[in-house]
Amino acid sequence: MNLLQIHEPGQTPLPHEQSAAVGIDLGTTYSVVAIGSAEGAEVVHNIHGHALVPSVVYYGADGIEVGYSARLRAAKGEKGVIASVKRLMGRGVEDIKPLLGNLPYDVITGKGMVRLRAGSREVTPVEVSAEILKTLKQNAAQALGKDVTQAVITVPAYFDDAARQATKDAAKLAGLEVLRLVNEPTAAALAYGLDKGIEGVYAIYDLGGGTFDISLLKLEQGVFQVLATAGDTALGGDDFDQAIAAWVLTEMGFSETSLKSEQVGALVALARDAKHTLTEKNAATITYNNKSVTLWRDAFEELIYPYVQTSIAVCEQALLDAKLSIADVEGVVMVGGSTRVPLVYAQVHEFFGKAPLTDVNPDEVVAVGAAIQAHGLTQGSNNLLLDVIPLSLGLETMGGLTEKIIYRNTPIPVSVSQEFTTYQDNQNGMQIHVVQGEREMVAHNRSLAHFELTGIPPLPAGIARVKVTFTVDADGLLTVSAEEKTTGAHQIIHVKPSYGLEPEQIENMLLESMKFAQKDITERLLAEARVEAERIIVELQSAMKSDVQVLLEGEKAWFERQIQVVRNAINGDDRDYIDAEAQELGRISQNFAERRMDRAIGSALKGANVNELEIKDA
Amino acid sequence: MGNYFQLLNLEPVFELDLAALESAYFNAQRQFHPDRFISKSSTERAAAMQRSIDVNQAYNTLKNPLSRAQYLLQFQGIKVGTEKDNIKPSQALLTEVMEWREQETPPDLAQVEQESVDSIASLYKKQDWQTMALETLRLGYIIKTRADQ
Repeated sequence: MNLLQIHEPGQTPLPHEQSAAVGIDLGTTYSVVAIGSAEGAEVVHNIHGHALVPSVVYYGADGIEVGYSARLRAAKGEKGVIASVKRLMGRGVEDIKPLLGNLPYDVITGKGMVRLRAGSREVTPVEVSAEILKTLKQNAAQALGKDVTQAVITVPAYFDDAARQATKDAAKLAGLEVLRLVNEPTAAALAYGLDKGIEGVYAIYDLGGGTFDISLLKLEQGVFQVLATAGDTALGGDDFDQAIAAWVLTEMGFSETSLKSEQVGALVALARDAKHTLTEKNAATITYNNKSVTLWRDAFEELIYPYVQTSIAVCEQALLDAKLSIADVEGVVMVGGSTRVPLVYAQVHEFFGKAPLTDVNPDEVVAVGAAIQAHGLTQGSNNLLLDVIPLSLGLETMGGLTEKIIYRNTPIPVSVSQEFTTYQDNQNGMQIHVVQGEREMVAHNRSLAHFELTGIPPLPAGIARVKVTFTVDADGLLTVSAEEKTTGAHQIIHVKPSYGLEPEQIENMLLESMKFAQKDITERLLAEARVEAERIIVELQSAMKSDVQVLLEGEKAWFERQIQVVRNAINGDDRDYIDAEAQELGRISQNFAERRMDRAIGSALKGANVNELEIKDA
Repeated sequence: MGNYFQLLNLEPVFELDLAALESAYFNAQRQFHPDRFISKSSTERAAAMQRSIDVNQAYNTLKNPLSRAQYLLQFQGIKVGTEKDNIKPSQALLTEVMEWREQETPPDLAQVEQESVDSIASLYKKQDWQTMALETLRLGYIIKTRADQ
């Protein structure tokens, strides 16, 4: 397989379809888009021949710029430039306190998701990421000669629910349907495994600009099974740059607090250049404010040693979680630009006791893996990615303690139910606080959301039994549903994300964005609703023909009545009504769909539902 | 009746070949994993996801001897290792556990654990459910003590 074929824009060998699916590595410092095909994947180069697009956005009076030009403005100390925004995804102001003062832009204090000052505007990290995604989407569309509407987007394996949701929201704003959020090390393993034909247990050491992941995977006959993952979402090459910048200030006798945010941007750019120089050379000279200092590699390595050691400690944790020893690991794959730093290579080499693999470009391998997966998901493939949830999910209980309900490194998708009861007579509501993390105290974990249950029937205290189900899907995203068991009533859940955006906010952002007029958006959403409703009808009708054996008495007439209702809805133009009736059709036919799945398992099941375990009562 | 063994197309036995279990798990996920249903309707996707969740749960339950034994005992109406246990530890077992914990040089429980698993296997074959339940309870204590060592 030719993994990194490079084609001139518009001259790709892919068949011409109406729109295409791509793979996107939305990185802290650089982002990359790649296009998958039956032969592998190719990275998209923009008109200047660059594969890497700096994840930097400039908000100017006369427009928005993304990439090298924006980064150049930052280096010149211009205002309105936002960089490394990935570190802020799904975060609140209090989460990023350690970063404040080091960011080359101002953060606006407030509750909920962080807001940033970009020139005269206020933007969220989601909107900034959406601008980067739009640029990648355009670059890919230009290379392909057709519209790009779907993407596999990679995220650090260690991203929590809020950061994953924020990434998905950014894609929505950019007009991209996310086929799947794939963990970066898993995407790298897919690309590496297919290209190099490796099998066995591999460690993927992924040190990017702002995040670190270590994943242990078992690669076997097209199955990429994550055994354990661990990481640090605030560790990366950016920290090396900051360490150099701080060292320069000390050497030159400046105080860090005396710098304006745009001066920080310029100094950090110099620090990054010095870091790159030190990959090949033994010394780098940094000139700032007409003064020069020389940084030797020894001194540089001393500066970054603690960060590298932190990453090694995380590797130990992952091995422990996977119940593996170093001897079980066949090899180590290096991913992310920061693995080019010689000290990183040396430390990883020493810890695992084998030379790390670096033969696929560490900057591009994640996007390549994402593109292979995007192609596989849309065109079919024999590969299977089995991933895990990186951080435990828990609930707040008495005294601010966390009760874990889904443990870290559990394979996804996963679903766990728990029963709650009322503590007051006629209590009709309930609050559930969901957190993510490994610590005992709720305050030390990340707050994900408050779920408010309403509509519990009036009953004496302790009688109502509310079964709450927590489901983590294949994107690693949590959904919660609840049912009152004595009456069977489905409860209404209102979700208040701690650091996320409400669906209405996203829709408003879409409406506000210059690119779409309100009418376009409304039409697009209506068309999408019709397509989905139509799809449910077509699939159900064909299933009723092919799987007539598992159709229960009366079901056919029931389904057909509802199909007619949906058809009538489609003929109208009330999107909410179409959605509601299509969902109702989905809901009433779900059990039939599950029976058909069971039939597919084997004749042994004879249409029974596997959930209905025949366990005798004692 | 459907159960985890049927879901994975395996014979319901205690002595499970782990390689066969894993390959059955991969086969089932190839069939039901949400990645296989990307272009289907929300109904189909939801049904497949539920099966994919069941398959993960089945694999997690069957791959460990303790949870596998507990699961097999449920078919006999015996609950071990849950809050609703209907099997209680004997005085002899409690004394044994206390001795493990109090010895100055901790005993090698790895071997004790293996013997317990072997014993459960033979009790399962004999269909001696009550004794198997007691041994499963004992296995739980062994694993807990080992973890604390």
